[in-house]
Amino acid sequence: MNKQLNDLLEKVRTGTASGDEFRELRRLINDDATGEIIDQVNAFHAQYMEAADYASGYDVAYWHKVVSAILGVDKTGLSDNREAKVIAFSRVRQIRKAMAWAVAIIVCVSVGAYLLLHQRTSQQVAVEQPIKKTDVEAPKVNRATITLAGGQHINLDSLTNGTLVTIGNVQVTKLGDGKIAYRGTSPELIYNTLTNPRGSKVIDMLLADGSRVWLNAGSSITYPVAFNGKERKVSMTGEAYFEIKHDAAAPFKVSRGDVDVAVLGTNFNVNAYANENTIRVTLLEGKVSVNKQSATQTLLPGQQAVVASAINVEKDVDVEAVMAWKNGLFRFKAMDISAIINQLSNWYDVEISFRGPLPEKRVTGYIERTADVSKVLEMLEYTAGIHYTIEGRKIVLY
Amino acid sequence: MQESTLLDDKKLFQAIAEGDEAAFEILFHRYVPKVEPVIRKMVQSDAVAKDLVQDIFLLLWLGRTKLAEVETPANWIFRIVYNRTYSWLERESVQHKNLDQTSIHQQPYSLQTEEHVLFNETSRLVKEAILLLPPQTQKIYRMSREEGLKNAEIAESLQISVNTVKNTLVTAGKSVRVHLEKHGIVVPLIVLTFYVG
Repeated sequence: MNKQLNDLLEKVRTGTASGDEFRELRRLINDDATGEIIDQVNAFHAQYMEAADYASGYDVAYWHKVVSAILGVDKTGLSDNREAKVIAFSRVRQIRKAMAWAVAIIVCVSVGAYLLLHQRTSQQVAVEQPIKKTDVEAPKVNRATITLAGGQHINLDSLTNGTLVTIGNVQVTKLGDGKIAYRGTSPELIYNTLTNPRGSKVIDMLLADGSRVWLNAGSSITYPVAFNGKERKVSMTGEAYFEIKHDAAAPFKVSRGDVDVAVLGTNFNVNAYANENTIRVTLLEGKVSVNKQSATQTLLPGQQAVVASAINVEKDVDVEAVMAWKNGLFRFKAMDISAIINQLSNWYDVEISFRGPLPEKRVTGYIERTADVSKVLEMLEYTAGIHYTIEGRKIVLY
Repeated sequence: MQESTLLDDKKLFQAIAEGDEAAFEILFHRYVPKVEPVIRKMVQSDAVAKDLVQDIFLLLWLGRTKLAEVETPANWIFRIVYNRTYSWLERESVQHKNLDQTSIHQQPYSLQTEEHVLFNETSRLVKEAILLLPPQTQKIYRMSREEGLKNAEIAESLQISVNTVKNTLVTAGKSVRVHLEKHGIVVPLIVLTFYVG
C-alpha cells in the first residue's frame, strides 16, 4: 500500500486530517485511472469492518422508497403537456417584451442624442431615464421572527448563524439558509411562536423532539420549546408541512381553531390561512386523524381532509400540487382563482383584487416561485384570459 | 471480484445508461448492503449514512449516460462513495473546529439535516432545469423519460430523425448538469478506464 495514501487514510480515520489532506485524498481518488487507489482504499476500510457491521438486516421497504424517490428526481411529474407549453409561451412573451424595451431604449437614446447635439452647452442636458418596470419580485430572504414566552421578538434574518438564545436547558440555534433548531429538554411547557410574514421565504424548523416543520409565507406556529413527554401539542395558522418523529407515548397534535390533526406517524401538510374558510390537511405518509368538535376522519396517504363546517375526504389528491410551495414551485392543477390569488398575495406580499365577479375558471400551470409576479400573471393571462395591472404592491385582475 | 458478477454489473450499467429503471433498482439493492456499512463506519451515524447513500445513488443516476463506458462498475460506485463521504467528513471536521465547546456535542444533528436538504435541493433544481429547457428539447426529454418512449418511437411521432432525438437527449442532460453545477452540485462524469484485474 502506498505509504502516502495510508497516512492520509489513517489521519482521516483518527480525525486529525487537515483540509489540505482531505483534498489531497479526494484528488487521489478522483484521479485514479487504474483502480489501484480505490482497491487500496477498499482494503484499508476492510481492515476495520466486522461481520456484525454487515448483519443489521436490509430494510427493503425503506430502501424501496429511497430508490423510487431517486427515480422521480428527473421527472417533472406533470401529466399534461399543456403546462410545459405555458412555461415556454411565457418565455416567448418575455423575449418579445425584452425586444420592445430594447427598441424603446434605442428610441430614447437617439432622441436624447439628437437633443444633446442641438443643445447649447450652457443648458442642462436631460440624461436618459432608466426605464422602470412595475413588477414585484419573489421574496429573496427569510423574514421570520420568534416570539418568546415573555413577549420578546427575535428577528431571524438580522442575526448570524449560531446560538440565538438559551431557554433553561434548551438551545435555539440558527443553522443558516432559513433553518432553526431547538435542542434540549424542559420540565415545563414554555411556548414560543414562530411567525413567517407575507413576502418571506419558507422557513424550516427542527423541534426539540426531532420533528420538522416548514412554514410558508403568511403563517405562524406556536409550540413548546421542548416537549415534556406527554402529549405534543402545537397550534398554527397559514400553511405548514410537518415531518413528525414517531413517539407512541406522546402523540402529536396540530390545531387551528377548533380543528385539530392528531398524528399517528409522519408526514403531512396543513393549509389553514386565516382569510380562508376551509382548512385542508393532506397526508403524505403515515396516518393522521382530523377532528373538528365531535367529527373525526382518519386519513391515509394521498388523501386530503377538507374541513369547512364538516370534514370531507378527497382521495387521491395531487400531492405534488399541495407540496409545490415547499419545493419552491407554484403548481396549480385545476385550481380556482381565489385560491391562486391567496397563494400569490402571501408569497409576494401584494394586495390582489378582482374587478367584477370572480370567474368560475380553473387554472392549470407550473412555475418557479422565484419568478417575478408578472411572469405568473402572464401565465394566468394565457391559460385563463385574465388580464392584470401592477402598481407598486397592488395588483388588479380583470 | 468474480468474473460473473463483473459481467452482470456491466450489463446493468449498460442498461442503466439507457435509462432502464428496473436495472437501476437491481443495482441499487445489490450495492446498498455493501456500501452502507462502510459509510456508517466512516461517519459513525446511521442517519447520516442513509442520507449519503441516497445522495450517492442519485448522483450515479443523474450521471448515468456515461455508465456504458465504465470498465469496473464496483470501482465507479466506490469512487463516488468515497468522494461524498470524505467531503462530508471534511465539512464536519471544519464545523467542529469553528464551534465553541457548548455546541459541539450537538453538531451531528445539524449536519444530518444538511444532507437531507441536499437531496431535496437537487431534486428541485433538476425539475427546474427540465422546465427551463427549450420547448422542443423539453418535449423530447419528457417523452423519453416520463412516457418511456424509445428513441425510434419519438422520432416517428415527431417526424424527425433518430439521431436528432439522440442528440437532443444529450443536450438536455448537459443542460440539467450545467444548471446543477451553477448551484454547486457536481455530477460525476469523468470516465477513466478502470483496470480489470
